[in-house]
Amino acid sequence: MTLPDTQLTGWQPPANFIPVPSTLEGVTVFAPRPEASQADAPVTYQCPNCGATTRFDVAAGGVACESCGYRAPVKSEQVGRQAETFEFTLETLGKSQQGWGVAVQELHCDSCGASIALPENSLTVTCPFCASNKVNVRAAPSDHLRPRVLVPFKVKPEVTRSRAAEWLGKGWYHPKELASSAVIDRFSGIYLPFWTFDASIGAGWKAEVGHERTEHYYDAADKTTKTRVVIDWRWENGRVDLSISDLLISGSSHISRLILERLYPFNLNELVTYTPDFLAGWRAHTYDIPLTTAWEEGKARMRERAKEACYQDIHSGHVRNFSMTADFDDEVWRFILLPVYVAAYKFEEHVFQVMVNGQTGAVAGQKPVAWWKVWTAIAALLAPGILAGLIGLPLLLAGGVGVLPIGIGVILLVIGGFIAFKLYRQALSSEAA
Amino acid sequence: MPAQPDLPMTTIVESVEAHWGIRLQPAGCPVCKGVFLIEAARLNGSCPACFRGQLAPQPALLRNEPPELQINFRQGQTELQSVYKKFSDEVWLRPDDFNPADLLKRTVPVFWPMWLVDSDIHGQWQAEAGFDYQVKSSQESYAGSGWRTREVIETRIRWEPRLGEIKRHYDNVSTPALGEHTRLWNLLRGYRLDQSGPYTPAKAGGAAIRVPDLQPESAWPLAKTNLDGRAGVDCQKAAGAQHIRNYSLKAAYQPLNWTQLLLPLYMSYYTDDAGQPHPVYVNGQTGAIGGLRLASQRKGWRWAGLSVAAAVVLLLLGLVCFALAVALPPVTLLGVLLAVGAAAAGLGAIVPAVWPWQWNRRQQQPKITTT
Repeated sequence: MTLPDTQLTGWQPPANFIPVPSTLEGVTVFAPRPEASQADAPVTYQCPNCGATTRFDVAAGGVACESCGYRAPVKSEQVGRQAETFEFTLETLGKSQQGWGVAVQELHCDSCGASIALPENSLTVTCPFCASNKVNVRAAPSDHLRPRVLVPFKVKPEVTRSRAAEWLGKGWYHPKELASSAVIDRFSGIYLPFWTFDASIGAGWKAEVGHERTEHYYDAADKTTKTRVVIDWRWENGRVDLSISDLLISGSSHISRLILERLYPFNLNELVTYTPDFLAGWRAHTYDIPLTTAWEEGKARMRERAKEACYQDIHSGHVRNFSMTADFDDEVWRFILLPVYVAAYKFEEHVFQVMVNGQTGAVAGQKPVAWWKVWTAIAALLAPGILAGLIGLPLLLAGGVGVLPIGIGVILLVIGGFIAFKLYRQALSSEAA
Repeated sequence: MPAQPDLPMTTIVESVEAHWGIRLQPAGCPVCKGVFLIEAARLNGSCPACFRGQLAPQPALLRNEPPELQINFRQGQTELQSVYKKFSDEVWLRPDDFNPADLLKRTVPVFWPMWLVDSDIHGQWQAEAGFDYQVKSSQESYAGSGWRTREVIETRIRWEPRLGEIKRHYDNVSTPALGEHTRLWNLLRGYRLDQSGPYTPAKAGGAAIRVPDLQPESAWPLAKTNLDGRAGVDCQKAAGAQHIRNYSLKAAYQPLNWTQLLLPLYMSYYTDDAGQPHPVYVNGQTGAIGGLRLASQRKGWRWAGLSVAAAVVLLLLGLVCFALAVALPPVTLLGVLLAVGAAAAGLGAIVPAVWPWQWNRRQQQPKITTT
């Protein structure tokens, strides 16, 4: 029962507490003030000295003004793999399905007053009229779903061209003139969205496992005792516990996943807390693959790893009727931004993509293939086997020693065919995006 | 903020009729020191708590306010009879005095008290509030046909600090008024306090009323704990939390109002081999019964003696048969049977001799049975 005078006395809560709604009259409730984070507030970068546009400078490791030389260090903390993670709460899963500020398609430039069209999924924009850099132009669907950590660019933009040119020159089955004739556009530094997932998996397996046993038997036809290998099948089971950390899944559907995965690994020990300064003058994408979709993919990869671990637990190559269960536990996720340089180049009227890992400098992309070189190599690989076969066949028909060259030919053909197949696959994937 | 609130004064009364509206007078037991309000006709009767002493008139420390609430007796004679029967039938070799008829004959209705405390609470609270949230997990299974996923929703608790101010009034917070409250409460398996009604002298008719031996000054720490508990529930509710822990409250408790709640209890007793009475308690609301149930060692010896005597007779008859067997060999078989019977009767005598001792040892803690 509440007292008639519900106006409570002048008691003051501690400074870091704020009032929250109470569901009962006569009782006031205060909760800790949420950490005031300006990390997701829109910011426009202008030099405090000369008013020119400022941007994050990789070499300076801070926000810099090209006009007057102003430098400001970025206030961030390296958290590495200890960066905060989040559970798969139903609330967050629901919110992750919402887009990032989908309603926002235009932005009013607070520097020049112009209206700027926002590129889709973009977190940053540069005003085409006054060149001012703006960060956090879209609002995250929830505080958990904004980027909280990122790996900053370490590779300077200047070196990307030379690295790409060096990369284009590698590989014998590409056109010889590729490195010299390819016209590479300017590399664009972009922070790409990624999800990281951690989980513990308790996997239990059950299978019929075959154990080889050598036995002696009497061959009545030959009237001799021979040996042979037989397999004894037994039902076995086991349990494997494994812990998977920082499984990376791309949050962007616009960037070639095939090329991205060739840029791996990223060193997540260099994760730093998010501050918009890192994004000043750089492009940055929000995710368009929601948490739930990414987690489904992450989970599929994790359970395949668990399956591999179960197979490794079986000390035999003979397995049948395999079944297993995988119980996921302690599943957590993070939303992070990773640095990538993206460019396109033209070669013989075709456009190819190339990317540079903004942290490690690794290069990956599409490369045209000089297919005549590949087919020549394949022919050369298969030729010895075919040749040996052709020599052996008449000798065999003549009733001579043809069996030996035919046998050698088959072996050479198998080896050559295997290498040729690998070469073909490699060449094919080199062009793929 | 005062550490100790103003507690009501308890006065010594010679007669309660003026205040409580019933013609009862205070009387005490010199053996167990229990004080009761009883009808004058029952003066010099045996004490309804220990059944060892005689109630003698004596002044009682009592508050003037009559009880506020009472729970009425719901168990009639028939129910009591069956309760006593079940209670006593479970004891083999029980004393002759331990039987349903005598227990029923000696039954005395008694009300025993609890304090009801009303108070305003005004102060500051703090706690960790627990909020339920749900996370999605999964269990994957693989067989030849591929993977199958089963989603698992787990409920977890997120703990967050909360604090605030409370200014509320609480009515009828029940608090022990007897030193033996916990023992009685456990013995009688508690009462449904929500079934209490206003105190009416007419409905108390004939029952003795136990006088509190924990006065408000002594009962206050318990009352405070209970009041704080009620306030804690409200703070949890106000915070919208599903759980609360590490709750603390700094508050003033003013004004305090102490009244009584009367709980119905039937008291009876039986006497053991030595003629000592042992009380039997029946919850007047639920019929839960409790008390020490002793077996009769004397009866045990008697049965053991009879068994030994039977063994001796059988043994003698067996010997006679063996003697006759010299002339009539088939009688040997009868002699063997009698000898075996004698051995069985002799060994069987151990059971009634030992069983009461063992049973009484197990009864050190009073057992409760509910009917």
